[in-house]
Amino acid sequence: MSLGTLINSAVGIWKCHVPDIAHPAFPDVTDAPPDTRRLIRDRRYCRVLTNQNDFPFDEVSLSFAWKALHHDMSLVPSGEIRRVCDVIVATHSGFDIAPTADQVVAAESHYIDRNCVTNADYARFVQADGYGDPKYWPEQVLPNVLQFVDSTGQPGPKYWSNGNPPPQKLDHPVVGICWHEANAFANWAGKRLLQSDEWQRAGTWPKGHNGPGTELRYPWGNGFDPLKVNIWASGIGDTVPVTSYSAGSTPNGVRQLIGNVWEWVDTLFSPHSDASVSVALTETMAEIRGGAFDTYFQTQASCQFRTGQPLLYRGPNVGFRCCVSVNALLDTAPDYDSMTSSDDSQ
Amino acid sequence: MIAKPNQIHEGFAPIVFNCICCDNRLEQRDEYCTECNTPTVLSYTVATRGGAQSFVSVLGASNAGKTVYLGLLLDILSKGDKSFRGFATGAFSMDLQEQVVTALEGRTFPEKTPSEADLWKWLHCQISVAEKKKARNVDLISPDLAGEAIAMEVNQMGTYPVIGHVVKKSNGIMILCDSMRVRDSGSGEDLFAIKLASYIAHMHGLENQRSSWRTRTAGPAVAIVFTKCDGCPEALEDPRQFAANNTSRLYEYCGEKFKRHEFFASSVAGSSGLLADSRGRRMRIPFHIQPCGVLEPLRWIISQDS
Repeated sequence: MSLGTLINSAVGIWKCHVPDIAHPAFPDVTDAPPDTRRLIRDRRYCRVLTNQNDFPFDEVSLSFAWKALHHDMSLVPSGEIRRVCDVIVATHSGFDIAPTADQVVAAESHYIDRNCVTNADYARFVQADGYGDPKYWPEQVLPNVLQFVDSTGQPGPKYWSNGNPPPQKLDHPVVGICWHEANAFANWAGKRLLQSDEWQRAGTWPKGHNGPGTELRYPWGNGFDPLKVNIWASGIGDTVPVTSYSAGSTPNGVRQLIGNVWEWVDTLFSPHSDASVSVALTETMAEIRGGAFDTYFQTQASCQFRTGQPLLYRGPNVGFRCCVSVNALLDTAPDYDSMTSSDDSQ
Repeated sequence: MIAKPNQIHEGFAPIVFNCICCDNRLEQRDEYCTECNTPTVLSYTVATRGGAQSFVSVLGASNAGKTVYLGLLLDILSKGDKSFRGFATGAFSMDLQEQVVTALEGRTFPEKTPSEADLWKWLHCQISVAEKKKARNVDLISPDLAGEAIAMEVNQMGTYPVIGHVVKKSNGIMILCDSMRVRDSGSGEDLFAIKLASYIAHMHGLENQRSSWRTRTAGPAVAIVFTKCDGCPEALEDPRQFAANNTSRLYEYCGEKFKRHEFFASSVAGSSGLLADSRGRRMRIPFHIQPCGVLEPLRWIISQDS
């Protein structure tokens, strides 16, 4: 994909974002070829755009898939982030967590889901027998898949029953899924989990660096505002729909990077320590980012804060969103200006 | 120049009042009660405020999480909604809150509580509870007791008189048990909790009651709280069943002795790890903080008094 197309896409998304406050309907795909229509309606348009099927898709299919992608995802251009590197050190009186200089790390450009994956989204994966299809699960995880059941013993997230999400929470982020389940869904959808640095880039790129050597703490600025996020201080104590708290979105329309649910990312969690200290984790952990409705300290729900949970953790406060690398997509991005205007006219 | 407490009222007759904990006669110039080491300022604050007080004490083995529990409880109460909110009544109470919150936000746990009674931090907090017709105010008073001191007092009554006085005065008592030790380390935690329960029963005269269940003294409301449940989800799922399965002696004893008792599970960390260094020191650190089940035991205790 050329640089010109990338910039054009980014600008196009900014244009798209203006009417996005009203959450425009998913593009009408009635006129798409039947196989493409089914994939796009299942929100698996990235399977079309990354050509993960055995046969190539035609131009019409690709055009509809692009429309769907731009409805659901935002472009995050490549660039640098500052990775906070706290180190656990042994001191005279015990142990301490000492800050060290941030690492400057590059993140590739990618499209990121505007919203976390919802219960409704995840239900399509469950109904498509995603739990029963071994191609979505690594071989070493297969024995565990039988234990990934809901409250009634059916395959699905922990807090569902009879294989169905709570009806009043269809538009809430799916929770009660472990890191492997998040990966399996992403795989099914033709996407992937974000790397930790990509996640941070999504929350911090829009306003760039705030000053020499610093990054914005939250997508909207440096000051915490409980009206823009759902964490402990907001007093809700549960998840909310993925489209709420839009005031806390990034300027290109990525919602709830901070708060509501922690987000699994595709990076293992390993606290840094000096040579004399060993850190024992009960299980292998993956990083989670962004804080959740029950995160107590606002300093722990920022774009820079990193923590982790065991890969098999299926808690009520961890969900995920997906992404796709720009360079994994077929170089067939349609004329963005005409697409934006056609969306607006609908 | 900063005045010392005993200089403030110089030239006036000393103000005399009773220790909130042991009813010993105190003068304002005393820093601590000579009998039980309760800070005089606490007794003075309570004496001048009047009204009913409700002692709640928190017991548990060393490293069960008492300090973190109390400090965070106070912080959560101060941020609570109108239906259940509480504020520390003085700087001395905020010490504990500050110590715990600062440590947790920096992703460490606070230092161990020293065994010396005069170094213990006391919590005094006025809680307003919204009830059907009007709001009720409850004074929550609890020292942050050292686990080692509790163990010594339980083994040899009178070693730490303050503990006995506090337990005797308490309408509500929490027994904190480390859920991971309960699950993974055999009967030690169960047996120590039994000791605490029998100490409570003794202090409240419940040990040798032979009257029928219906007519016997209710005694204090006892909340058994399994802590550190981020590492023991089994306790969080069903605390009563967890108690029955893993602390069967305590479970039976509480059923026998305490008319009002309940089991709870709580956690403060979302996840944690164990640090060790080449000198053999070990310490658990929280990776992030997401309190769970901290307020519920206190709510239950207060509801027992209404």
